[in-house]
Amino acid sequence: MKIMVAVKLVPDLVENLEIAPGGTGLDRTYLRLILSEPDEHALEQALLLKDESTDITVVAPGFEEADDVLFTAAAKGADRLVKLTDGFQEGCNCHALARALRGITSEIQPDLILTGVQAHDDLDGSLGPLLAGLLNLPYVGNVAGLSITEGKATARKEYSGGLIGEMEIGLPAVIGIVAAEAPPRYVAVSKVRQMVKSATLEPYPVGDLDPGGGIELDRMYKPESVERATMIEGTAEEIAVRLIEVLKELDVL
Amino acid sequence: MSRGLSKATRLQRLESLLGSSPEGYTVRQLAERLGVHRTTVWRDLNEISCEVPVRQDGNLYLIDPKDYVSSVRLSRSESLILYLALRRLVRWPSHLSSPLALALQKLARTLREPSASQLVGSLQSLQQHMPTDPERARIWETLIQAWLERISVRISYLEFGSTVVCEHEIQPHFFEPGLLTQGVFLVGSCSCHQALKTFSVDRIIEAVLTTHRFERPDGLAPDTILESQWVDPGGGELTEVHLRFRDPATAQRVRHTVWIPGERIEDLPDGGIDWIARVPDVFELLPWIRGWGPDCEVFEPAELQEKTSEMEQSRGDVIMTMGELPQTAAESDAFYADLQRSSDGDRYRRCLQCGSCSGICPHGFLMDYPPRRILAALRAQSFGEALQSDGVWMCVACYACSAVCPAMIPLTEGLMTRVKQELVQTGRVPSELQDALENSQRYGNPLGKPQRQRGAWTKSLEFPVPLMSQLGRPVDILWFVGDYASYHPRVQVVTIALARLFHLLDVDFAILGPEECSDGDSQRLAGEHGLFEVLAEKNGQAFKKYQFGEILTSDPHAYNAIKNEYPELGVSYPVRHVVEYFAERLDDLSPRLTHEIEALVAYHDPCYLGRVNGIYEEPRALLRAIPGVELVEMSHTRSNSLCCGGGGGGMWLDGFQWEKAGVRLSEWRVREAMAAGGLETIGPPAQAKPKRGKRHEEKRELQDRILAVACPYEAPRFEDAAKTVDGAGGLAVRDVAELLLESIGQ
Repeated sequence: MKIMVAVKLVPDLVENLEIAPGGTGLDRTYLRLILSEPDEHALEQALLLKDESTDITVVAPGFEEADDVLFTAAAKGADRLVKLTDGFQEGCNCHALARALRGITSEIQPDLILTGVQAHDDLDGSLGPLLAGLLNLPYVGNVAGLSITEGKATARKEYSGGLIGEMEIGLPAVIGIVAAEAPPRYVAVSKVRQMVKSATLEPYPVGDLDPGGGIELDRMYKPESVERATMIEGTAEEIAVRLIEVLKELDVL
Repeated sequence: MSRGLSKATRLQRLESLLGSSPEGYTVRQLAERLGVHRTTVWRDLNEISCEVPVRQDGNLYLIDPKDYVSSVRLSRSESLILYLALRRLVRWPSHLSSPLALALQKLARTLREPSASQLVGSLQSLQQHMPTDPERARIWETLIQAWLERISVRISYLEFGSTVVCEHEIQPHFFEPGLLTQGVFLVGSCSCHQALKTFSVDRIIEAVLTTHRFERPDGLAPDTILESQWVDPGGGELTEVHLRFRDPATAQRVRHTVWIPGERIEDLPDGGIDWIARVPDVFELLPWIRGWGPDCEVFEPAELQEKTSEMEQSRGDVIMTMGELPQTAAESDAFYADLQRSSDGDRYRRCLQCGSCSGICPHGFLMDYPPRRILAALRAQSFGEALQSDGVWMCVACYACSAVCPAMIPLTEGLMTRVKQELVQTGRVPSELQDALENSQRYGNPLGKPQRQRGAWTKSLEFPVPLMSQLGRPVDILWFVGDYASYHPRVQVVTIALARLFHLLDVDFAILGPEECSDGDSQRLAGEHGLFEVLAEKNGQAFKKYQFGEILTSDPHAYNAIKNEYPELGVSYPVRHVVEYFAERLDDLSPRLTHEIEALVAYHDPCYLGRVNGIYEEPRALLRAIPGVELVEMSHTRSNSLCCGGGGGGMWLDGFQWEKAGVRLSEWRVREAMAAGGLETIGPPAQAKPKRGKRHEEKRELQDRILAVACPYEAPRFEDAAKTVDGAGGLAVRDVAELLLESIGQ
């Protein structure tokens, strides 16, 4: 069986984020990208499904940080590493990424495509349904458990209120993973370093990116502080007296 | 001996005397006949009764010839055959070991050297493992008596694979060792179907002699009986078992032995064989079949095939859930050999199994595999089992075991860290630790803070703390600040105090700021050596860019790594801990230490400053220089200091360790700090303060207590612990630097 894991790289929220001078996007000069967390789970789910006859290909958009992400995936057990190249310097939305994935997907012909169900930089839906739409494949999202039997996948989809729906999907299909059945595994640094020396990254040129259909941003800004709370100081009695006055002023009492 | 008879001869004569008279002799009569004193006879009787069956009847002693078999004389080749047979016996079922040991001892005497001493050697190891099960011994005695004296015996017999107990009255004809198992079988006529039946002696759970004597049928030859039908001629049906050994080498080994009388071997064209035999109970063959591993395929019967494939399946499951941990004896050996190749590796072989390491380990009582047991497991080739335990994550790498080991085995850095490495390599890491390791990888610090903000603590100072990158000139001191000192809000207070001290002493210093990375020492001691190397290389590259006289750090782990570990990676710079530096400049400091700190101060020796690097005096000298401070010692002090619990990854395993222990080492330490002062003040005689008698005791009750520390892990750990320990609310936890600055009046 062939599994393709399509991952996204998103801004690392630990680092300070700055707004670019244009005011419609992030300043990418100091931006550090990180593997989107649900994508880490999508990879883990693929690894959990892996047996001797399974071949896992991980495809990442061509940012600088993709190398590290892909070599780490190889150290965890991915078989093939593909890095989409060109045109990613300015970032890309899900529409552009889904279109960029079309070529490699039709080349690999995977039985199963796993993606993270969402990413924190998604504004208009996620990669999975867009890719499924382009490839004319079924899609199930919010999946937190997956098993494969003879050309079919059984997915456990999470609903709000703690409900789980179990559904069967014919393969090939695209699945949006919210959480893998086990937490993403740890891989020793020495193993990743070994992969850097021995594994091959296959560049896959995708030409110009087409972000069409996505949202156009008017303005991006940091949360602005609204009117602050007033602190009442003094002894307990003074505070109580002042509090009653304030409440009366506000016409609450 | 002067009486003409050697002891050996006397004992032989005594034995033959005892066997010669059916009535027996009194001690007096024996003494007369042997020409020795009665006490000698007593002693000799005592001695030979260990080896020959001496009976006592009132005051008469005798040997019933039926009770023992007399000695034999053997040719050389006969003695070799006997030796080989006896060696085989050594591996026999444990409940037989008691009579076996005695039999071996006697037979060993009839053999030539070196066979005799080799057998005695086997015997000694056998005696060590000798279980004492008087019940089993009694059953054996009964069965043997019934066999020899031809008395029917009533037995309670547990049928194979069930819990049903059947009663049989049997006439035992002969004993036979198991073919494929280590069991012993008893073949006898059974009262119920008057036919021969085989009983596994292990499953005979009671045996009582009856009063019925029986005659053994003429021409009863075990071999003839067993040749045609091994086991259970009277009982159930025989089932044909058909096995295939494809591998020619394995087939060769199968061919060399007759495993079951009446077995048939058919050759396959490719050098393999088909092995066919008829047995009453196919499942008795299971352990034997399993022993061949994948080399043996089961064709018939179907139920056996099912059972073996089931076992293979479950074996597969185990491997899945265990990851790829070394399981086999060979892998155990490989790990042990690898360990011995490391520095000081030759010392592992010197382990005495004294258990000092497990005893001194602060978490040893919680570990199912403390250091001693891991070494035992390695020697027993069962290291795989030790790796199944997550107990090694209780190791706080505090070096107590290494320090106490009489064979000076590098237990902390060698053994325990290597075991952790083995787990890290297979991804078996507690999730808290995983976060810290991933953070260290990504952000260069285990706290997961942005690298760019590593120098952010400097902003609250009114004077600038220079960055190496901005200074553009050589400095005296490169201050390696460290992770917790840079980011942790409580430890930042200490860091700021240090900066002020440097400033006050006009130290020419600078920091690396965002160019500094975690020192990696604790990650290394948590088994992530690859990560340690990456971090050390990054720091090495930063050091290389600048010129400086020496590195100073307040972090004992950074100090240890830069001093002892980095040079192996080609990063070699002089480094000192700040307490060493301040102690050296005590003459400059002392005049400024004007403000009294009236308190009982207990100093906690950090493991990697004290025990590992031998720095005990400097911090104490600094504390003693502060007016008002009365230095007291905790019950664990200096090389015997108790770890704060943060080492070896413990800083990032708090939840894991708390769940196992239900208590934190830092809490123990806080209790010790509250009780400190019972011991004499330790210090050079000239500086020791005069005893103050009763007033002193009263003062001690009222005085403030301070736990002084010199490691960035400790202030937050001990402050948290003081909140949870009853009565420790008043304990102040202060870094030595904070106390110095306070005494200066800032």
